Amino acid sequence: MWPPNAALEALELAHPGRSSIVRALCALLADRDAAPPFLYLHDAFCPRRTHVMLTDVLRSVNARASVVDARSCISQRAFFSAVLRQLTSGDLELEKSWTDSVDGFCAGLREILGISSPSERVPRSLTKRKTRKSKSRSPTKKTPTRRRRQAVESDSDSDNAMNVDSDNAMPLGPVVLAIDSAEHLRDHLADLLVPLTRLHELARIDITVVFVSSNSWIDVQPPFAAAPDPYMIHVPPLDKESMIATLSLPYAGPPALLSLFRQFIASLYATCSAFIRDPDELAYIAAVTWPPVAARIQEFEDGNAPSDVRLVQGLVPAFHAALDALYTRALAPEEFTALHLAPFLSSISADRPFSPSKTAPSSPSKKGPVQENLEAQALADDLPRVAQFALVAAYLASFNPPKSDIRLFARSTEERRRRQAKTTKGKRAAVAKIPPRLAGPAPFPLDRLLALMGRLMEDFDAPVDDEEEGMVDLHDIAREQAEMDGGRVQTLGLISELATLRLLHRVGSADKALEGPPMFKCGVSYAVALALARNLGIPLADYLWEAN
Amino acid sequence: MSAPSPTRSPARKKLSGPFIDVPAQRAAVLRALRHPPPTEGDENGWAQDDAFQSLRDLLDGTITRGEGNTCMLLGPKGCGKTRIVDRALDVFPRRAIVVRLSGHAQLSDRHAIREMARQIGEQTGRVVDVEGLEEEEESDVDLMDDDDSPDKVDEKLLPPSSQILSLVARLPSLPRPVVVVIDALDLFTAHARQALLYCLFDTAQSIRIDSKAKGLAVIGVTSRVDTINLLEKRVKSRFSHRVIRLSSPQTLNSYIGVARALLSAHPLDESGTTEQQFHWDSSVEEFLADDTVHDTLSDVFGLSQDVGLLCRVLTACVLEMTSSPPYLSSAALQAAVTAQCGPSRFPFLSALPYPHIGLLIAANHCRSAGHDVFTFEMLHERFETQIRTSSSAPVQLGGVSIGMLKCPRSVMSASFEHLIQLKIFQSAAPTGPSVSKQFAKYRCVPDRHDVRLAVEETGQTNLRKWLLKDQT
Repeated sequence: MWPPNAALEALELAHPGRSSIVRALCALLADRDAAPPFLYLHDAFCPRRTHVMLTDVLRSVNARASVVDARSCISQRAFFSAVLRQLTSGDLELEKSWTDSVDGFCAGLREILGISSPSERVPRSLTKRKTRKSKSRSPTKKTPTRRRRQAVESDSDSDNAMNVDSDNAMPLGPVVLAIDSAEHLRDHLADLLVPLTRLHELARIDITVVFVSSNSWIDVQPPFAAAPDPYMIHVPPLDKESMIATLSLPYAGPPALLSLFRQFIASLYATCSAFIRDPDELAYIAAVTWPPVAARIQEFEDGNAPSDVRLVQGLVPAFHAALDALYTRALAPEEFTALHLAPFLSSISADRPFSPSKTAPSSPSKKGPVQENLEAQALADDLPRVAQFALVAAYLASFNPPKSDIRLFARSTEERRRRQAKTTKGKRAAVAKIPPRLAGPAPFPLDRLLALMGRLMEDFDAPVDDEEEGMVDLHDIAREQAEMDGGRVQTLGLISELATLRLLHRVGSADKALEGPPMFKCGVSYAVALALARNLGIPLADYLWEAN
Repeated sequence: MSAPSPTRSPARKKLSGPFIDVPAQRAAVLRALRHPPPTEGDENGWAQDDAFQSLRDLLDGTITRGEGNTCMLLGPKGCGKTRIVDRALDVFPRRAIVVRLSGHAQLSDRHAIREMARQIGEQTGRVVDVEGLEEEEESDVDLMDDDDSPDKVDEKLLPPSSQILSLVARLPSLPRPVVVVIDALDLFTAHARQALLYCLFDTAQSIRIDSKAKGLAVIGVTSRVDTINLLEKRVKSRFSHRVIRLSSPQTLNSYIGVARALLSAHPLDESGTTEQQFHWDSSVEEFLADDTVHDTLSDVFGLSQDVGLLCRVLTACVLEMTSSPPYLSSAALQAAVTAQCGPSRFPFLSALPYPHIGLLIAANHCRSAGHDVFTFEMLHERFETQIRTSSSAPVQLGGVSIGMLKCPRSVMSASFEHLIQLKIFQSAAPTGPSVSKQFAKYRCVPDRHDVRLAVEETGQTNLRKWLLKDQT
């Protein structure tokens, strides 16, 4: 059913910038006979809004629709059940066999829709059916058996029975099965992909299957061209006007602030659009930042409020901060408001005009590393001292090549030179080697970790003689080594605990545990390793083969 | 490849005539595109009538004379195999029990046998007993509630494989002839021992006309040309080797004829006057005679003769039709071909935001350096280096530095994840819990040409210069 003009206009207003797609969908889905069997809506930027738009269109064309999310359907049974329940609207009990297999699902669809193929319909002379054992069921709900019997006995032999509602003889809308996040079907329900794309053939009914996905059909389609190609609709990103109109739609504040809100949205778009094209993400930032601003403005009396332009200009640094904090979900909305908006808003006063440059929140580019350093410092404070040595040693073992150990840690100068001379020889690689800090930590054996750790502890954890400060007592070193040997069990236990905390990553499967020494990879970042090294007094940069 | 069209006209006339009800006309054409009408054969060779006649004769032998027949319908996808079967079955309404199986739905013979029993039960009005299948369904209902694994429950409900022969052998004894239509026949050959095909072909072969048995026809439908070779010897020997071949339109004229037949549909409700219908037909003729349209359809025909593709292209073209003027346009057809005929995998590449494009360029630089596989850290390093380089020159324009825009690392990381989600970056090595997010290895799917086009479309000089840096 083609929607009335008023409904169509309302749809276009609710989805700015999507007029052509809305009209195309309405035309395609207006009539069950004309609806294509398989549609594919590809929206790379905001499939959620496309899904909402499709749902609105289905409602306006009076479609008998079932809308499911592929992410929530973890099994075939769950998928079939979700689809059939929506189509029955609760007035028909589902047979268990309908959710067993594709065949049962198709039979269930036909049963629910009251459809039987003309060539497969039972003649009147053969309508005697063996009654099934029926369980006690709610008298208000029609059982499938009763419904089937009614359908058979009604002798509805007109060829267009499937297009006419038996109750009011009105043409029915299309039957649509819309699947959101269809790319997840490949992960959970790969066996269902082909039957779904051929559902109209298998079920012998005029049904339209619509996939909504952020991936292209090439990435979703099953191999060997087993599925027919769909009718493609590519949903482009919103342009500036449409995006601003979309973001301005949910405004429900006082009318006096509408003008300011529009400028606020325009400023938000101008600041963040280079980084974000998803209207939902921009709407999230607006939803967090606008209410405190509106509340603060409403505190002013008429005529004393600061001008809109200056206020919006002052919010630009907050928008920058929101990119780093809100878009990445690094901060909760309350934290963000307290950290970035509250100082700015409190600086606005009627008698003292604010200066955006002076009241700007902290720069977002500096905030991330600062927070990371704080977290690293907290970790360094929490860990025991030996564990800190172990992690620094693990970092060095992961990011230094094994050949560099002697050169970096050898005590003898001659040995260092010899190793250096050896290492300079060699063929030059055709392709530049990727530094470990970019390629990621390399695995190392447990022995290497223990050796480096022992060496670091020897150099930086040795007790200093009180009488001769700065001179290390050799006896103490020997004692330290002996103690360390004695505490090796604890050390191994500690390394195990660090692996449990995911600060060290165990590499290799448990089956190969006997084939060699246990292998590990460092699980801490450079910032954490640096904080730990500072805690221990180790000059980390001196022990790194390639400086970060 | 493409013959000149006889309808080609040097200049297009301006049409003037009565008002065309665009929604009604559009709906009529869409309806025709959804259910293409049977096309009559022409002198150029695309005739499905022969195939239809053969199939009808075969069904006539089974339904009227009680023969056992087997045949295979072979043709490329979209050529109308299923439609021909439906047309042929419609000739004998309600005189046969039609069992439809599909290799896409019945993944094993046990599924197929259960589906056969269900369909026969539906059409005969009595339950076909496949070793107490009905009783098992009823008694196992409670088990299904407790068991979360659907496959295990499914196995319980399926009949044993040994029952295939007993059910198939009973098909000729049913009150009416049976026609078994097997879609995707080639997939059935992968079932264990091809047991169902063997039983069906054997039963069809062993039917004698003088006996009281009703007929049985087995019609396999497939697009795979070597399906017969996939049959085992004992199965192949029971197959009649009757192959009915279908083809897509063989010539451009046939192809355009199909388009003409589809576009010339008229509204069902007869609301439009004959004059309006005549006017619409004239506009369709004029549309098809247009040189651009002819060339575009010729290109599509050269690429694929699939009628389904033609239907999708025409659907997109018809949807672009507006009230003023209410005609099909060649520009809309070209846009439809671009959208439907081999659409780009990443049509949104140029619309990606700045960090995404920056990462794409960095990935291209990595590729140029010989590193097809990269990590986030590698891309971020290159991006940061480029920002430092571009902002080192103390040049400002209107008080703003002309260097590249800075972007926080967290935003870059989020952009990287979005590119993975969009399948632009695809995993190049197995990821596990021991691999940190920033060191997981990925590969860039769009090639250098795609990235270059996208960067040029963005119009950002800084990005373009950065991309071209590694090509010098």
